[in-house]
This record gives sequence, structure tokens and C-alpha cells, in this order.
Amino acid sequence: MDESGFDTMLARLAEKSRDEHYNPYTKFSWPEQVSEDEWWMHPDYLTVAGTGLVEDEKTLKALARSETVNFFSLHVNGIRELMIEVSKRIHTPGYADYNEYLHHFIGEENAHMWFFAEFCYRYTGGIYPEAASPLRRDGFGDEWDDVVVFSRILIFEEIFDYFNSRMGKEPLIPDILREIHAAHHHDESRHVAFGKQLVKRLHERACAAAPERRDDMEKYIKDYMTHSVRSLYNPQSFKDAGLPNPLEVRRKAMAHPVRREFHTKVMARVDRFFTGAGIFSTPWEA
Amino acid sequence: MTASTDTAMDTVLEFLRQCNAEVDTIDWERDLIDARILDSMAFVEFLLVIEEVTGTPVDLATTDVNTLRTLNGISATLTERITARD
Repeated sequence: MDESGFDTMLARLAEKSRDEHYNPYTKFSWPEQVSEDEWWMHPDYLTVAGTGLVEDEKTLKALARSETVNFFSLHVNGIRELMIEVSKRIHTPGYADYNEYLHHFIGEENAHMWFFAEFCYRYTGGIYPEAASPLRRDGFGDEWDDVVVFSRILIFEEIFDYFNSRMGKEPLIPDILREIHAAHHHDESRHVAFGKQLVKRLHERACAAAPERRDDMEKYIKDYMTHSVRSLYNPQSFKDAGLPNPLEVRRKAMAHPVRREFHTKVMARVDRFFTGAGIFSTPWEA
Repeated sequence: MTASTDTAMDTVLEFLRQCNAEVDTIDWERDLIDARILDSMAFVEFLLVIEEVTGTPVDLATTDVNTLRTLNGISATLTERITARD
């Protein structure tokens, strides 16, 4: 996409954000309770789906609840860190072209963080804590760190969108959950469109500034994709669903061939983007 | 090391091998982060492996993760945790 095409896209996305703006605090009709007899997530999207590791419907329904909490918690914890990084960059040199849209991005992500957290606090014991690494990540240098931040956001959004786009029209799940997934899917399509073009530009800029780090970056992004997929398998979710050996179930589920195929599907779109944009020399392997 | 500590260490080594096969040739006193066997993201997964093989949770408030940065340190931690557990 050339310069004028990119500017046109940014203007169009900002206009859509303005036109489709809503008040997240009044958008949803929160029910008194969400029945535990219902599936909070379609069973096909549970981390044990297709593995045969859990067969009992009551346990699977409990897992649908705890994996909903995990999914929403991943958003709350993940986007907090990424919003900090975006906030550090807005209105700084090099970001002038993106300021307008970044305001919409931060505003919309703040709304998403609120409604995901709100669901967890209203109907469950709250969000799960972040599985943060006790080690600090070494920086790659300014230009490459920009690529890291926006690539992480893109991966994160694509994973969420895979589930949101399906769960947002899933009749099996309670209305409030379907509405939350649908609202997120609606906003994320704009963020993904913006993110792809931005990552391409930032990657080109970083390659020009420090080409020797290109391979390190490819490895980092791929590792982040793997890390993101694994974060769906939270031992606490398995424990809260009443499974006796949460770490064993997690390990077996993650390694199951059916699940590896699923991981590839979840990541297919973003992997195609990274490969097509020349950011990856080879596709990511689940 | 006891038999169960040996088995636990084998499982940890297998995990580290998947991160970077060079773990098989590394000095057991060498820092695994500096040697690029582990990075900050893989470390999250690594802590879960330690929990599973020892059967005890890793509480980051009370665990000095620096003791887990070398193979000798990991081995000592496994021995300590498994002995305390049994």
C-alpha cells in the first residue's frame, strides 16, 4: 500500500470509529446471573476439544466457564501491557501519521478491557492473574521494539478474533456472552486492518535501520505466537473445572495432533500476513 | 540425586532441548538465559514444567528464579523440592 493509500485507510478507519462509537458502560443489558447449565463457550472451542481427555458433560461445561474467564483474562492482562506501550508512543516523533487513529485504538481497547473484566467480576470470582515471566525481555533497539509491540497486538487480536467471530453468532451460548464476543469482533476488524499496514511499515523502517536483527525478530514473533497459543491452556482453568491433574491434562491437550491442527487454523490468517509481507521467511509451525 | 529427581531432571532437559538443542552440550554452570536456551516467554512454560515434575507450585513471591538459571541450579532445586514433598 502506498503513502496515499495508507492515509486514505487511516482516515476511513477513524471515520468508522467515530460513526460506530458506542458507550460500553450502557451498551449491554447485564442479566442477574448467567446459568451454569448453559455452555459458556461452544464445546468445539474448548482446549480439550477432540482430544478425548475429558468426556463428562458437567466437567466440560465447568471448563467452558473457566476457559471463558481465562480468555477474557488474557485480554485484560494482555491489552493492559500493550496499551502502555501504545501510550508511550502516541504523539512522539515518528508517530504523527498514526496519532488520530491511535486515540481511537486506545479508547476502544479500554472499552474492551472493561467489558471483559466486568463479565468476570459480575458472574465469576474475577479475572485470572497474569502468567507473567519473572524475567525481563531484552530490547531489540527502538525500531525493532516498535515492530515487537505492534506485531504482538496483531497476533493477540487475530487469536481473539478467531474465537469472537465464531462465538459472536453462536446460538448455544448465553446472550450476554454472544453480545460481548460480537462487539469485540466488530471493533477488532478495524484494529486488524490498521495493525497489518502499520506492522509492514514499521518492519520496513526497522530493516533499513538495523537489518542484522531481522532473523532474531522472525524468531521472536514466532515464539510469541507459540506462547500465545499456549496461554489458552491455563492450568488454573483446568483446576477450576475440577480436573485432578491440571498440568498433565494441559500438557497432553497441547501436544495432541488434533489441537496442533487447531493451533494452525487459529494462526493461519496472521501467519499468511507475516509470510506474505516478507516478515517471515518460512511459515510458523504449531 | 534420587531416581525420582533423575526422572524429573530428564523431563526438564527434554523441555529445554525443545527450546534449544544446544542444551545437551552446555556447561551445567552456564546461564541458560545468556546461552539463549531459555528466554522470558519460554520461562513461563518452564516454571510449569518444574511444578509438574515436582508436584509443588512455584510461588514467585518466595522463589528466587535466579536459582533456576543453570542446570546445576535446576537440579538442586528439583532435589530440594522433591525431598521436601516426599
